[in-house]
Amino acid sequence: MTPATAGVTVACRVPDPYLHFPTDLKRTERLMDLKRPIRILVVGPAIEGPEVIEKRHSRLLAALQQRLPGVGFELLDGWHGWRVAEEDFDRLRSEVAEAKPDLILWEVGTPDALASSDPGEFGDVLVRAANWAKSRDIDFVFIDPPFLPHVPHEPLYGKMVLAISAASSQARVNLFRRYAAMQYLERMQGKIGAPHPHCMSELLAEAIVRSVTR
Amino acid sequence: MIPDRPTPRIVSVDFWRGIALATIFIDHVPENLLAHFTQRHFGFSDAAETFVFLAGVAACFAYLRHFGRGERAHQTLRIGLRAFSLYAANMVVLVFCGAIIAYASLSTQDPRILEIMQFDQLVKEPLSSLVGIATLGFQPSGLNILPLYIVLLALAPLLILAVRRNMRVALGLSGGLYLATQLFSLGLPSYPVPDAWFFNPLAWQFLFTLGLCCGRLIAERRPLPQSRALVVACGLYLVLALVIVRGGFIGAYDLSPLPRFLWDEDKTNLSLPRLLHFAALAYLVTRLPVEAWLAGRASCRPLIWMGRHSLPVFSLGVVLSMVGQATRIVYPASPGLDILLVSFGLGLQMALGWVLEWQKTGLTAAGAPAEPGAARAS
Repeated sequence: MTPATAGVTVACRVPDPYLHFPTDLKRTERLMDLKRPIRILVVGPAIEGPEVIEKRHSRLLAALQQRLPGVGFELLDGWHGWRVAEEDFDRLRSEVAEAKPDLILWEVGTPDALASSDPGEFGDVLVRAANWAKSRDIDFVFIDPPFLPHVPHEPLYGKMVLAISAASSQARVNLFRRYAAMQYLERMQGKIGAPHPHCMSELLAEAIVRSVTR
Repeated sequence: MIPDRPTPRIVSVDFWRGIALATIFIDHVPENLLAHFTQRHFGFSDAAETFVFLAGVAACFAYLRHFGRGERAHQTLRIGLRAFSLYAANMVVLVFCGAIIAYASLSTQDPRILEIMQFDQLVKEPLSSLVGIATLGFQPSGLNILPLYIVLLALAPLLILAVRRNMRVALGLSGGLYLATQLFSLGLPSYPVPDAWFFNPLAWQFLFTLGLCCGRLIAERRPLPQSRALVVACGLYLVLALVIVRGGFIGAYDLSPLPRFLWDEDKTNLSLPRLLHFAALAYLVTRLPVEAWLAGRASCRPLIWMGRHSLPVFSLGVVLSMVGQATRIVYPASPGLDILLVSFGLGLQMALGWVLEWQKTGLTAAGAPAEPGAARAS
């Protein structure tokens, strides 16, 4: 696969399929057309991994603003999201009722991987959550766990990554394949140098922008 | 009429506290085999409700009788000292759990563990995290019930005074705060993460107050309302909750524009379905002859010891649940491992309960009804 070339820092480039969202972010597009701000709820920690509070989602916001300068994005500080998906879904409903977002970016899978959740039951929760968001006309993107090399229990994450992929296909919602993108950048390290520490925010912003501007 | 004599120890209160502690421990090792059979899988409420309600009952037994004129300052100080011991316990538990999670992360080279257990902020922002630890705003995963309990004890002098004067007024005031919390999204902020407390004390204080009121009824030997219709209604509500939870209907219905707390499941703010579920369960349990059943039943004593020494047992349970979580990451999870971890953890907690009971009352008296007035808000 050929890495994407436009709009992404060289050290962060991944193949196009990693940046492709199969379904449209209709509400986000609509708000852009109406020149109204888009409220994005990020559920989970910083996209890149541990980060100081003030900067938690600032790189994602900067990357979005850089790509769509005229559009108002408001990043809502969701909760950290550390419980298994079943419990996070309960909290998600509270958060949505409170914050009324237009787009939800849900980092999911890491707690379930570490708890060795049953992938089938985990996937069922994700499908329910995605359908719930869709029924409220809220755009929805799953973000699967980050990848790290040389971790002995890494297969735990792999099971959840597969379950998230299956659930997003079944519910017809978008998935940002962070795990695969980080794995790719890790493999490519010898050729393009060490991956930039902020690649994931940039790639996520790129995927969102490609989806709403196609 | 508040009795002058100490309330005789109600063994079933200790027993149910023991059950709640065991359940909290099992639930705190997420997705383990036995966690699929705990209270929360059969209805809206879980062991946290039992724990907070019985904390109110125990606080009533320990302090209400002494809260007359001339004794209030002394009793308030007693409650303050108790709250401080909880605060100290919270710090110790935090340090132990942090060490376990740090070790798991270091030994596997997986910082995602730190992140998911919410200890990553401690690494990234140690100074503001220290402030958060001291002010109880820093609440990593699974370490949020003691901060709630500390705030409830801090509120206890006011609540006890109100319950002592007039239970209806107390329930009205406490219920009013509960309602305002739901309608105006009141809460305490966490720090340094700009979130809210996992257990909102402004909502959960209502359950604590209900516990205080029930404690007073028990102390005065006044029965709860007896009604066949109420029994049937409680039973039907429990069945309905069971169907909704087991059928996967949580989140599938939306009764807006009714306020969300009236119909959705929200643990943070103790939504009404949870509160009613616990109330229905508790009411039906009071209809059972548990006190008589427990008399002389040696097999139940370990749970009674646990409930009687709930603070140290709870603290140990939280630390052991962290060990359990870390073990399930390093070793492949299996039913055998789950049963081993839970049995080992519960065994240690029961052993701690036994040791503390032995130290307090002597080996032969352990588990037998203790001296009157021995109930504590622990």
